[in-house]
Parts: sequence; structure tokens; C-alpha cells
Amino acid sequence: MKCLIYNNQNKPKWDAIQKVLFSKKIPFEHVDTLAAAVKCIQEQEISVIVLDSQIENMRIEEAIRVFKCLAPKLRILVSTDRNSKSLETRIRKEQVFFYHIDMSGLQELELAIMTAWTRGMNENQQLLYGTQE
Amino acid sequence: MAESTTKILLIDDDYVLRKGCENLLSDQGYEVLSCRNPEEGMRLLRENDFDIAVTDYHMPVMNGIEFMRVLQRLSPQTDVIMITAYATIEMAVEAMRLGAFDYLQKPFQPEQLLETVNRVVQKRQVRKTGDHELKFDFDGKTMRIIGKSKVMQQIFQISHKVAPTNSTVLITGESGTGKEMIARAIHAFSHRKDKAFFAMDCGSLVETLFESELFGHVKGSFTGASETKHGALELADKGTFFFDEIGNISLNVQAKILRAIQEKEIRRVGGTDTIRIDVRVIAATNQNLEKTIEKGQFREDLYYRLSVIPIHLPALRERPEDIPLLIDHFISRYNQKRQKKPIKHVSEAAMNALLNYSWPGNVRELQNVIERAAVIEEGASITIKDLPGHMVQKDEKLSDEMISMAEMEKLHIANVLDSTNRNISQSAKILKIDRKTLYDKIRKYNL
Repeated sequence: MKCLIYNNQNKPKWDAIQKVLFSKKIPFEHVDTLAAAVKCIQEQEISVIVLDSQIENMRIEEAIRVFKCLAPKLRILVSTDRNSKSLETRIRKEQVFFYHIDMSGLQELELAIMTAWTRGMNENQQLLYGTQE
Repeated sequence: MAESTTKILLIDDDYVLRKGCENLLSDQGYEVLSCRNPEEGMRLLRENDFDIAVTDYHMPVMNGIEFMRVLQRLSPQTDVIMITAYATIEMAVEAMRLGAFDYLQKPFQPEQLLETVNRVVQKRQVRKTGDHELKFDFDGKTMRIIGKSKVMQQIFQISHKVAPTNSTVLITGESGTGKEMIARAIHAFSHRKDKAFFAMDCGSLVETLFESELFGHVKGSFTGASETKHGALELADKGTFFFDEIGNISLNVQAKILRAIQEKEIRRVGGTDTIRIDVRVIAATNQNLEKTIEKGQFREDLYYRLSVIPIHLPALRERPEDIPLLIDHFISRYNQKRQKKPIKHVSEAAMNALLNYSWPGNVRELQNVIERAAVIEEGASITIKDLPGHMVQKDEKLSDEMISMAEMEKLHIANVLDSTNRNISQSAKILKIDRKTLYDKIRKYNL
């Protein structure tokens, strides 16, 4: 299982997130295009994706729908540096795991990623050992 | 006017009548396949999904009643119209008693056939949207909750009744019983249907994150629009908010949710302003909230606020009569995605295993089992080998029980029919009996 970071803008936030994942020994991939993200989700066992609200070539909510279609159990976290009511509404309609805005601080995003990752791991173990809900 | 997907099987050994009916129905937009005897009919039934079968009563090898029985096994979803001469009307009536939709007495006018077929189509449409499912549009997609059991029928009625109100609804039931689907149905039937429906799993996030997601967040002097997190409750204004697994919320957040429901206002984390909201709340849990109240883990006042309209969803094992319908529903769903031969049939042994299983994961587990079988199975039948081991083992235990000679014969013939994909000639050859004897046995054991 892996975590996928998808952003196409060089922001210090993303470097910091990658450092955190590295320090927590969470295997991750970093991609900067939608095609690479899709390929990664199709070919690897991705349980968590963290993406920037501004992506190229596609509206964020459409990209989320594509990801969910490819991996229905994927936990999706979206982060933005500039929020608006309409952006937040559009993203929340897609039932993302967590919506982060930079103002709340990086720690909140880190905690959300860790929570999503842990839940994915627990789910995976339940599958492996056949535990029923 | 024909429903675009209505597919009709026409069986009659009278070439002129058969071709006449075929042309008539095709001209009306129906997709028609015809043949002259029941054996060809069975082959076509195995290879296609027919909505309607129009069949002569008098046929070589087997009569209409015998064919009805076989058809009910091969394609239970197909409606039958029996064509009969005057002398066999009594038998046609018997066929109707067995489930045939109607009969046509020879000679008949083309309009009579069309009228009867149209009535079947209409009945099927009503059945599709009425009796056995709760159908609704949600976010541009058609959704269905399947169930013909009395308890599910009552739930469908309650969902319709409560939808136009603003009352809070508490949906209880084990995991996988479809609590969120009922919440969506209530939203879809309500006047809020064009507004947001937000769902949050209350157990998925730690308390601080959950609060921030639910109520929004402002920080210190950063109060500009781009630095404000509005939160799901504010954004669900005029819509419906679904709290999944409400029993997992901390007492602190419970107090805030109670206030949001009672006062219809919220306050963002870190903020001082109150924001008015108009949100219809639906909550769900798989816990016994009364017990959690006794333990001091859930607020009694919030419980009473939430359970204005309580809806309890039964476990799948409590409504076994719905299992074949659900299997049918999931098979047709996966057939649309499947690039292999469509699944047409579930073997008797497999169906028995599915019916005898306790389904701890409920409808969700059944859906997964059918999806798995549809992926594994290359042919057109789901058999026992396509089911997960723990289900099959249970069935094998059953087969260890002492049974009578007749039951043994029935089981053996059923297994051979399964293994040959119900190829009669091949099965008869394996069983070393002639085809007529095999048909007699199929009829005798209702296979």
C-alpha cells in the first residue's frame, strides 16, 4: 500500500508533506500530472491520495470522480491555499475524506493523512485476515 | 410503443404464424428471436436475456406446461404468453396458474398479440419501479434499493412518507444493510433534492479534524474569504446532512451537533459569529444507542432529537426472500460491465449456499460475493466453485447429511445439469439415460 501525492505546483507545503511521510516510513509516490496519477492508481495499491485543489487540464471534482471510479475505497484529501465557498462545496459534494486549507496549518493535514493511512492499513488487515465488520 | 430493450422469444412450429408474429413485433421495435421447438428455445434462453417468451402450447418433446417449468428455472425473469388452440384452454389456464402472464387463443388477430405484449411490457415497467424496489434519482444516477419482503416494503413506504417533512431520521441497522442508501432516497424524494446531500462518517476522523470538517474553521485575524473553511454543515444549507455512525462522536461534539439541530445555527472552530443553517439531519448507526446512553457515551437529549423518525433496516439473514432478487440485481449490474459472456444462471447448489449463508456483512457482502463470482466465472453460470471458501464449506457440511435416494438423484442430476450448462443431450449422455427420461426427471424434481 502506498500514499500518492499529486501536485503540479512547487509549493513548500508539498516538500514538507513528503518529508513527513518519509519520516513516518509511509511509502509514497509523487506525481505532477493527472495521467501519472491515474497510471499510479491503476497499477499500484494506493490507499490515500493527497492532491492540490489546482490541477491541470481538469476540474478538481472531475478528477476526484475519476479517481473514485478507479479505486472506490481510495481516501482522498484535498488541500488548497485559497478557499472559496463554491470550491469547497464542489469538493465536499464528492465526499472527500478531508478538505484542508493552508490557513489551518500543515499539522492538520499531516494528522488527516496519518488518520487516512492508518484506516487504510486496518481495512487491508481485515481483508487479509478475513475479519468481518 | 416498445420499450427499447424489450427482447422477445417466439416459439412455434407453424412457420407462417411464427414469421408473421416475428415481423409484427419487430415492426413495433421489439427485438425478436424465434425458433420452432422448445430445445432451440432453451438454447436461446441460455444465450440471451429475454423479457417475454411467446410460446405455443402444443410442441414436440414437451408441452407448454413442461416448458414453463424449464423456463422458470432457466430464466425466472421472463414473462410467458401461451398460444393455444381451443381444446387446450384448460391447460393454458393451468400455465397461468404456474405463472404465465396470459394466453392467446388461436386464431388470433395481430392486434391481440400486440395488446398482450404491450400489457406485459407495462406490467414489467410497473414491477421494475414499484413492487420490489425503491428507485430514485440521485446526482444524475438512478439508484435502486431492492426488497420484496414485507419489512422492506414498509421501509420503502416510510421513506416516501417522511421525505417531504423536515423531521430528523435515525436509521439503525448492521453494517452493509444500506443505511446511507435509505438516507439518499429520503433526500431524493424531498423538496431538498436539488440541494446538497453531504455525508460524513463520524468515526473516520479524530475529534479536532472532525469538528473542523463539520463546523468549519477560522483562525485569529485571518478572516478573509480565502482563509475561511466553511465546513460541511454550512455548505449543506437547504439540503440534507447525513451523519453516518453517529454513535462514534465524542460527547463534546455531540453537544455541538445538538445545538446545531435545536438552534439551527453553528459556530466555526476559532470563530465567534453564529451562522444560521437550514439542514435536514439524517443519522445512522449500527450501535444500540440506548445502551451507549446507559454507559454515558451518548447524550440522551441528542438521541431523542435524532430519533424523531426511527427506521430500522433488517439484516439480510432476516429477509432471505430478498436474496434471489438481490442476486439477480447485482448480476444484471455486473453483466453490463462484463466483457465476457453474460451471467445467465445461478446453479442450484450455489443458490442454496447463498441462501443458507448468514451474511454478516449483509447486502454489501452479497454484492462483493456476486462481483467476485462474475469476475472469476468465464461461463454463463455462477456455480459453487465461484463462491468464497467459507460459504462453500458450509454447504458441503450440509451435503454430508444423510439424504434419501430421491434427494440424491435430484442433487446428482442438478450437478450434471450445472456442469453441462444445462445441455440436455450432454447431460443425458453423462447420466446414461435418454433425453425423454431426463426431461421427466427435470419435471419431477422441478429442476
